[in-house]
Amino acid sequence: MADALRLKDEGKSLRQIAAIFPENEKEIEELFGVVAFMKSKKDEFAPSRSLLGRILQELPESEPAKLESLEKKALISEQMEANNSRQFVIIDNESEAAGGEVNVETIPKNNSASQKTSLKVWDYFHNFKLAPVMAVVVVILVAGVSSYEIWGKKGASEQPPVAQSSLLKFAAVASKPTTMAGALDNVLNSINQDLNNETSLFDLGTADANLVTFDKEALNGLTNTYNENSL
Amino acid sequence: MKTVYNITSLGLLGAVLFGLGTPVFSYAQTASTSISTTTGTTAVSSPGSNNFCANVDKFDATEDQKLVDGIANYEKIKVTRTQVLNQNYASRDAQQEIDRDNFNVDTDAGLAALQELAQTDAEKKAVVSFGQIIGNAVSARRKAVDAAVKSFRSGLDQAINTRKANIDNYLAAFKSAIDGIISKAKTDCANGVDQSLIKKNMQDGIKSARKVFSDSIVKLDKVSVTISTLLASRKSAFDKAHQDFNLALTKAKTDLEATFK
Repeated sequence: MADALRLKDEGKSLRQIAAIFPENEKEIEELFGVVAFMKSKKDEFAPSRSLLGRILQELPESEPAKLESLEKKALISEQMEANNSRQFVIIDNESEAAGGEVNVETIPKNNSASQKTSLKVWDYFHNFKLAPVMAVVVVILVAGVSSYEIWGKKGASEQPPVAQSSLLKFAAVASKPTTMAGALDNVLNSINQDLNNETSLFDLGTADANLVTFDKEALNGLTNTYNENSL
Repeated sequence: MKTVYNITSLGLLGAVLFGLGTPVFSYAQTASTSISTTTGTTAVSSPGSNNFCANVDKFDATEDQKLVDGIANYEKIKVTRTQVLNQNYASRDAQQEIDRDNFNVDTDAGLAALQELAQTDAEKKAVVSFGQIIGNAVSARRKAVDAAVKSFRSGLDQAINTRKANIDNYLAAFKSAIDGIISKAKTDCANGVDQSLIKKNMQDGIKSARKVFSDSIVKLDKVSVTISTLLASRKSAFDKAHQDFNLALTKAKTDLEATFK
């Protein structure tokens, strides 16, 4: 698959690539379908500005890590200096409200990049600050995948033999067009996309005409040889 | 005293007359040179042309090298043009193939979804008919667009080949004219013809040959008319293909929607 994608990037057509990997022709076709679909729907994957704005508004008040007392802050700072470590302070609202203790995780300062990344993710999820955003991302991904499931496959009778994940199957069922108008719109959108692609390529071809006179400057240079005034 | 005054006056008058006469004499000499070089019969030396014959070979070698370098540059440009054109053709053809394959996959899936939603036999037949009409219309459109593109590319290739052949002819004619002029100059030098005359003849000859060559190159710009015609034909064919397709699509859509109502 990686080789097929590399060849695609190099400008090889689907047919040419399929000829190189005949045993994987079906998979390559599916893969290219996904790539083309993602490319064509890339704008739809981006949530609208208003949706993002609403999500941000609904986020709980951002509460920076806070400690109950300056003494605790000082204590932790001292520990950090002493242990050459960094600490992630996790605020548990419920336990904090009930007068519980603040959880402090101590991490060695010289941890690897992967550790840092995993810690950040852990920190975000622990605070649940990004939960609504993640939910939206998941919904968008599911919608995208389901669209591919519906429009990317060859036909209802030609189910790909490749095992599908339950997520894919669920998504496919969730957003399949249920009305004739919706299904027809999908066909018409596909046709419009094809017309736009064809027009774009056609317009690009117009510039080829400029190459006919590409030699003009070189020819003008030739007329400057054998200047009689230099005799 | 009066005698001295008269002598002085005569002297001044003579000096003035001499002064007036000198330019006339000089002009007579220049005019004589001009006439003699034109007729090529009288040998009159002029300043700066005494060593002309010794420099003819050097001039020829220097200018010939410039011409050779210029032609090499032109040949390189020709190769680059061909490469760029071929790359453009290949990359767009490959992209078109991918786009068309994707469209086929998408549309087949869309038609299958439509078929699933069809309830009655009439609706199912209408979907099949819709698919056939769309398939035929797409096929016809693609053929028309491909033909337009092929014709355009063929026209461009022809224009380029004609241009190349013309340039080769113009260059050969120019070089031949120059060679003839230089050869004549060398012969005249060997025969002891006055060098200023040889120089003048050579300058005139080269100037004339360069003008013929330059005018020919300028005439090549007329290819813009051919290109405009090619572009217009291509656009016209493309637009017609899309118009025909849209008409077929609109009718097919209307028919299908009518069946499902």
